[in-house]
Amino acid sequence: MNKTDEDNQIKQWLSPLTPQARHQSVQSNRVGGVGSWLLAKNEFRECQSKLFCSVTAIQVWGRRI
Amino acid sequence: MSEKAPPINGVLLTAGNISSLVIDNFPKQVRDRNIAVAGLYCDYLAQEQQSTTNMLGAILIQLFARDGIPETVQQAFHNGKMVLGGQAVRISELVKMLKTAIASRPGVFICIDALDECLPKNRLQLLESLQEIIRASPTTRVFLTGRPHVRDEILRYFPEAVMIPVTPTFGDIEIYLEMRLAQDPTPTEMNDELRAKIMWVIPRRISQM
Repeated sequence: MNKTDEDNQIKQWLSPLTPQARHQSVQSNRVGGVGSWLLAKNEFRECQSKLFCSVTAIQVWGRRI
Repeated sequence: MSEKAPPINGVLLTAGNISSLVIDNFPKQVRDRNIAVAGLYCDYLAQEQQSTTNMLGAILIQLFARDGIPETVQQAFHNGKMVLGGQAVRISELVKMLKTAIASRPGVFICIDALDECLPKNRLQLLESLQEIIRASPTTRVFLTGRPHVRDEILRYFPEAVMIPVTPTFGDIEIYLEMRLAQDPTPTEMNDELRAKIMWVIPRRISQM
């Protein structure tokens, strides 16, 4: 068994989920600029620079129009 | 186009949109510091497949992207194979592997989207596992999205969690409408007046919802 086959078997053993594929599909459906205000939010920026900031959780009021 | 506002079959600002935006924008700021980014999208249509072990495993795999699969993990896989019929990986094993993988990095960013869409039992196990991982590696950053009802669960495991309410801004709605108008299948029926009316009425109506 070559290295790649074995790696794939190990990955399959760890998880069959493919979040990268989902990410690419969400990414391509994203409308440019929408939601970018979040990245500029203080709570969000501070959490990146602090040494300890265990979680930034966010609530989404999933509003469908 | 009729006088009545047309139905817009789209989702303006979903948890997925926010998470993918965050995943894509994090690396820019942290790339130099060699921080790994691992994302996971929960999906109520895939609840069966999204067991706690599969979710933790999916995060772990992403941490191997740079240096390959470490020997300890290869060994665990081979040990599991020795058991008749093969042995599935356990939560405790995955947590241990995640701690080791994270410890070899200057930092790890884990983004989990739509926590409300995974089964409550799995969600609690996932949060508990994350809590354990973060206690061992406090530089780990976690970004979670979910509907309001998972808020208390998150706070139970992460009392210091920062909560950011997310709702489309006026600007978000305008960007979205412009995109939809540009894709209008019947552009001949569109005129400046109607366009202006749509851009005026819809954002205001949504804001009142």
